Amino acid sequence: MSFRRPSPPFPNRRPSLPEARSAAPTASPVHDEPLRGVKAGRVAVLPSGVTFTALHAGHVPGSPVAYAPEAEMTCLCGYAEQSTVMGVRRSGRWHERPEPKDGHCGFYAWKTGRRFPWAAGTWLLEVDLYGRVIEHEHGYRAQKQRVLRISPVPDPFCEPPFSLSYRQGDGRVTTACAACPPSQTPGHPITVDRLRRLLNVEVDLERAWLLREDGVCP
Amino acid sequence: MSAIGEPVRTHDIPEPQEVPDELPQTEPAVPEPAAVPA
Repeated sequence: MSFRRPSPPFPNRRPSLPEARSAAPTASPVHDEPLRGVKAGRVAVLPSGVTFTALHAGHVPGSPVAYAPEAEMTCLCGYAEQSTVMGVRRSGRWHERPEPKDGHCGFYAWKTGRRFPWAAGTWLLEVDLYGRVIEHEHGYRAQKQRVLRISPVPDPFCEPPFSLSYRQGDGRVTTACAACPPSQTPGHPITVDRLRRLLNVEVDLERAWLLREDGVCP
Repeated sequence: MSAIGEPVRTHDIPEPQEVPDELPQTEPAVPEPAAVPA
């Protein structure tokens, strides 16, 4: 079964060519187009609105883990435990943008075509990365990120058609199929069109499912 | 080491430019009719 690649999500945006750019041999090339990355994340309905949340939400102290579809990074390096130098504890440094050899801040994403951990209940996010972008061997750390397209990762035995709902409490938006057993705590249903309008990103209910069925990594 | 490996390159990429779906029309699509004397 072949992989069906959907049409570009934003036809009014100039296309980006991440593969061609990343092959550039220069040390610090300047590009005009964002780099394309993929990642796993969550979609949540919070009191502040519908937003994306990182997988490590709730585990990093002081972490502003929720982010909008188009966002600039907030450095968290100052919260990190620093090593001591000659008995003096070094304070964590804060950054306005990612640095290649200092800190670990930025929007993380994997390079397209790489296998990466994803699990049912999360979402596949396809993103454009720009501003200062640190390219790593398998992914990127970026100063700015724009989410272009999202797709929920269903449970292994789920099949289309899928429906969306969000849970009371943590507000996570999850998917279910007709064969899924009824939840103990039914969520609030959400239509794809409504979610698309709220986030202004393309919502594809079957893309992640297709990728898994086809054995194609994101 | 991070799961994404070691840093290999640094990019400075400007904000993406939005391209309008349609160019604004500078001339009316239908020419104005010529004035006819009463």
